[in-house]
Amino acid sequence: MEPIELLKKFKHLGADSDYTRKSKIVILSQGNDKLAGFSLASREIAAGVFRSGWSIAMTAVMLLLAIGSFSILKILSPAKTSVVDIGGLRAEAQAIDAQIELTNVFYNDILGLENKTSTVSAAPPEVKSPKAATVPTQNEINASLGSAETTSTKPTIDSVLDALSR
Amino acid sequence: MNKSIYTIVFGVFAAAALAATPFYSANSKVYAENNCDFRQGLKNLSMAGTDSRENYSQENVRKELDVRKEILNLATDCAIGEALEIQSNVKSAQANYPEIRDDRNRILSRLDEIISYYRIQKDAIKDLGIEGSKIFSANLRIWRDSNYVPMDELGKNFLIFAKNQDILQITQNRFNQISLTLKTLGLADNQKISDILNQARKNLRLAGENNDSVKNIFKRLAWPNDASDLMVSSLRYLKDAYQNFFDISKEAQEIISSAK
Repeated sequence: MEPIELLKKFKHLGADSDYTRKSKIVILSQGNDKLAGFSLASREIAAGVFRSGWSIAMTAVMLLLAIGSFSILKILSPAKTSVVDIGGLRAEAQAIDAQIELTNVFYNDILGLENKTSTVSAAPPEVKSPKAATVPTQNEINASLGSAETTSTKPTIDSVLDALSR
Repeated sequence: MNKSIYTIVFGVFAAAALAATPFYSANSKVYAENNCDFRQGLKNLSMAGTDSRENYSQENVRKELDVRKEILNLATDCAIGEALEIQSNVKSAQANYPEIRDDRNRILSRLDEIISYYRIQKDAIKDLGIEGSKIFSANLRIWRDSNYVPMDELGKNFLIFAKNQDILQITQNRFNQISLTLKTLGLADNQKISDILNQARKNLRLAGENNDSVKNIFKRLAWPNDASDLMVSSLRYLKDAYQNFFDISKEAQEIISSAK
């Protein structure tokens, strides 16, 4: 048989009418059973609510017992929470200590940078045009290059510029 | 039609982004990777200098000049990286108050000028001769002393200063909270507690005064300045205020315990 003819025949395919009827009954009957299971009497509903209520109440009591001691202390002695929040105060005081340390570290870093420079200007740091610089002698170049080579620390931008200017 | 326009616009932006990325990443990369090591360059310069002195020739002079330019290019790249780094830190500093934001913008703008200056200088390196490179280096060094060094210091101090504003506010909030609680508990009239509270108030005021002096420094971008000393002093007053809070808490607890 040609495939096209076979496909055309599929259009007329259908379930057996008796099987269809039986299936419908089975499905509908199962649905009825389930629905019957959900239809509770008002007395049963009340009992369920009562049981649930007890469960919730017991959970609440347990939660209160678990965290209650802490909360009750707070409620009973407000001075201990508001005035004597030692933990919070200590953390904030430590943050100030850390900030002082940080400022000192930055300050030392800045001092280090200033020591590396030769010129200190009292004027606000406006972008100025460079002034003509004096050219050092060849001996100074060799001295500076020699020291840059032998030094164990890495030359800075400024020390390199010094070396290049000689 | 619209689709093709979007495609073109997207393409232009993508190309611009790609073109811009290596420029900035190259600069920050140089500094970030701590690649600014001049030791080899200086060694090469020393050798090239000796060669051109002992055996003067066009080739040796050219060699020395090339080494000088190479070092100068690296030095300006590193200087740009240095400035970009401090600029990035200042940019990311928390500025929760309008005047602090103004200070931050002032510093960022000055750092922009510095970076632009470095870039202009970098462009000039290719045209230098040996003597020119010496003068160029000396001038750049002098310029850095009077322009970059102050901004580096101000930028670093600003990072501390911006954070201090939050600490001051937190301490002020603590003071308000403790004052209110003492009133609620009827302890504000207690002589000892009142004395300590006044001391805390004084410490807060002094901390605020020092902080205001630092604000003034940033407003004018004044340099040299005593911002570091003032900030440490301000923080120490705040620390003393916290000691006052601890003392108040202790006193209050003793009074409450004895009343039970």
